[in-house]
Amino acid sequence: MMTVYRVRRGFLHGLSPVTKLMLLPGVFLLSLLSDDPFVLAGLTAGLIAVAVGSRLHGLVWSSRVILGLLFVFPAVMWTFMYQGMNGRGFMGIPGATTEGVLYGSAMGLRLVAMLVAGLLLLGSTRVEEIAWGLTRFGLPYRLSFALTLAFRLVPLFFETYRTIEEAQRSRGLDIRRSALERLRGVIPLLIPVFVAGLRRTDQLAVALEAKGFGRPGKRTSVVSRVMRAGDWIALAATVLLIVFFGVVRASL
Amino acid sequence: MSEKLSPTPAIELRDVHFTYQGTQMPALNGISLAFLRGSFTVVMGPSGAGKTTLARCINGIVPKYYRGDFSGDVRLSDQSIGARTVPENAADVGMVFQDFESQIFSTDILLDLSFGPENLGHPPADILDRAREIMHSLHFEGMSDRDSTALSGGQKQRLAIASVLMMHTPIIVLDEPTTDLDPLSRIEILELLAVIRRSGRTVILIDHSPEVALSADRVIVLNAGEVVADGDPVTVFPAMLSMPMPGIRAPQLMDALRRLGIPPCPVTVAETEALIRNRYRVGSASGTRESESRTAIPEPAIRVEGVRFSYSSSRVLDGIDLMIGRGDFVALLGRNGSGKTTLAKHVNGILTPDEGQVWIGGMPVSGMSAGDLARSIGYVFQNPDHQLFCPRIREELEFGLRQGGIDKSEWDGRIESALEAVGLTGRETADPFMLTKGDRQRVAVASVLVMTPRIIVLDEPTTGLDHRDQLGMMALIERLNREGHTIVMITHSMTVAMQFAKRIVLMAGGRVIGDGDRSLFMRDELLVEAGLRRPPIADLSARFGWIASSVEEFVACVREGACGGEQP
Repeated sequence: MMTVYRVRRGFLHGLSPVTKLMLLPGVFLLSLLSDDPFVLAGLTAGLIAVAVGSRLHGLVWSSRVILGLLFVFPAVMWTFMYQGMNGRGFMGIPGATTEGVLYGSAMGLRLVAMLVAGLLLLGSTRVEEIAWGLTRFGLPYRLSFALTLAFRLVPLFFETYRTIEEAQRSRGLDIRRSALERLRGVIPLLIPVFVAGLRRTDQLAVALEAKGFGRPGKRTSVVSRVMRAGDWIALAATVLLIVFFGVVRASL
Repeated sequence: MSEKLSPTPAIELRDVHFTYQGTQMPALNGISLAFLRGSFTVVMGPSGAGKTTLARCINGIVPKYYRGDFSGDVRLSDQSIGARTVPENAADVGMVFQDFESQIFSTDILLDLSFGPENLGHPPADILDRAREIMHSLHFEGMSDRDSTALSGGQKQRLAIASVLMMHTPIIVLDEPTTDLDPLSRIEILELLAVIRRSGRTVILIDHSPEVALSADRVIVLNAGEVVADGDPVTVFPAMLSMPMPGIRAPQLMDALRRLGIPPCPVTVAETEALIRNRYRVGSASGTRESESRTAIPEPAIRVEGVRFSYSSSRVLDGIDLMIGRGDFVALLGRNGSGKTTLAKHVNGILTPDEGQVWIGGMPVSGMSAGDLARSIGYVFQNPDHQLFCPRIREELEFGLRQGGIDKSEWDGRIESALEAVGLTGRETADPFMLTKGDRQRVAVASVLVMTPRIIVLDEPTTGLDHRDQLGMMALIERLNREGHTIVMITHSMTVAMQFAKRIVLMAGGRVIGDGDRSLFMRDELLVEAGLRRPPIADLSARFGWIASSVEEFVACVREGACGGEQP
């Protein structure tokens, strides 16, 4: 599977792309409003529950390594860097403080929550829906398309990479050896993949225009979605949470 | 048909000249053509004749995208397209490119089908109705949300055609749109084009098949950027039979009639049979005329045992058992998606079976390194561009030698003999990407030959080649087989399989459904299951009780009296 999008019939897939494009910054804002690791753990748990409800838990699970690194790196770093107000030690580890652990965990969880939110958007929304959603915010279609082009090109590059890798393996390139040898084995692939990728994007530009992309006049879309009750409920719940945590933060 | 056509040209080219930047020879050299509304034209010609450039001119891609010297005028509905952009022309001209993969870029099938008509501002309800209709016609039912990058080559080509037809443009230009399709899928596309043409739209099809051209209103033959024949196929082909042109095959039935001394005119298989029976006494034979009895069991070169394999959740190979003997020449045929390429990729270790085992010369593939495999088995990919990546032919050949750890003292000798085998001696410093597709295919073959493998697997080696290059490529493969190489060739061409292979293996639904000589092609039920349709000459000979692989063989059989003799 080379695209992040997953074909599902889940809660998030039923929401309008417009809603999801508003929910994403909403979740980012929520994660920034609190430095409490328990609140951020709650937010992350909530997002994972949404992932399960939307049958996207497989996508989140497949990103576990990067999510784990995103959590561990700041958590460990802040454990030693953040001394806090009382400087109480943590489990007798030299240089580590309890406040540092809590702050580091919060920072790690914030990044995890942001990435999970991003995965949920891309896993439940096709790039064409994102492009359409952006036009609803007033962005011209060509610009929206260009912004989503990277997501379209990633699978194409992967496809080219896979084909060229197969061709080279069949000519004796062994990439199933040690990590270092594998890395060396990838080098001969890079130039042909890059050249083929460029050629392909060049052909893509011609193919796009031959299909009328950028033609003057009104463009229609088959992905348009009306806002339904679920959209309003999701937006209202996010707004309420933002207001609540905003007030809590202001009162501290 | 022609008299019903409206006299207003849908497209007109006036004295068009075009030379690509960096080349000397003009791709188009003074082309003046008018295409009537509602007409169906087939454009033919050898590689490099200017067919693709002609197509690119019609929607303005040449000269807007491809740089070079352009002169002349192209007019759509009597308006010059010089002042219009390519997207503006898209409302008038739908274009299916030869490289269909570059045309597919949406997340799923439905969105790919919708992209063009959305750009043209068609109402979404109409687009969805049309999409439902075309998905039904082209077997995409229930697949609207299928990831378009994960489709098979044949499915992608059908999608590329469908997404252009969705635009409902008055003019449709198709540049070799069925190269990757099995014969039945190809017939379905041609039938769909016939429906479109009946709806009054103008269709221009670039194709190498003279049989397809026979069903057109008009056939245009290009050579070296010039029109060398233009007219009703009824007049063009008989004239071409007496003056054959390299790169263009003659229609088989007409060719057979001419060789038998019967005036050739476009006729059906049944009519041809009647004409021949009228003149010759042709008896019935059975099976093939060639009787290569396979009594001795050769030493196995490849052994496939109980191989099962699935991509995601769909089973692609469903219990394959196959033994290929040393020195054999096997043609693997079947519908798109029947598992041919997947099976071949198991043989050279690119894929690993979920169940079962593949053996090469007594060694399990799973236990062999990539280097060992490359020395034992050469794999020529369908698209040479996926296989070639060096700026010089010599470097291309050195890649495998280096990866395989071959001693440098052997390099010169190996490169020399590989290039000699493919007829490219002395071209070591040429850039593979500047060669014709036929020559690039030869470089790809040389790049595997340099490793001196005993087994060579070729995936569609004749796809996209003109008649002359096809014959050249097959002569090369046949010679390699004579020299002792075991050949496994995936192909959609029954003609190629019958003429060159010693053994035919038919696949359907991930299983082997037929294994034998060309008499398999007498069995209609197998042909239907494998998505095959007999070429006209095989169909004709089948009426006499055997399968002829070529016009020459059929004519010789009728003449020599083995199947009868000339009536007194």
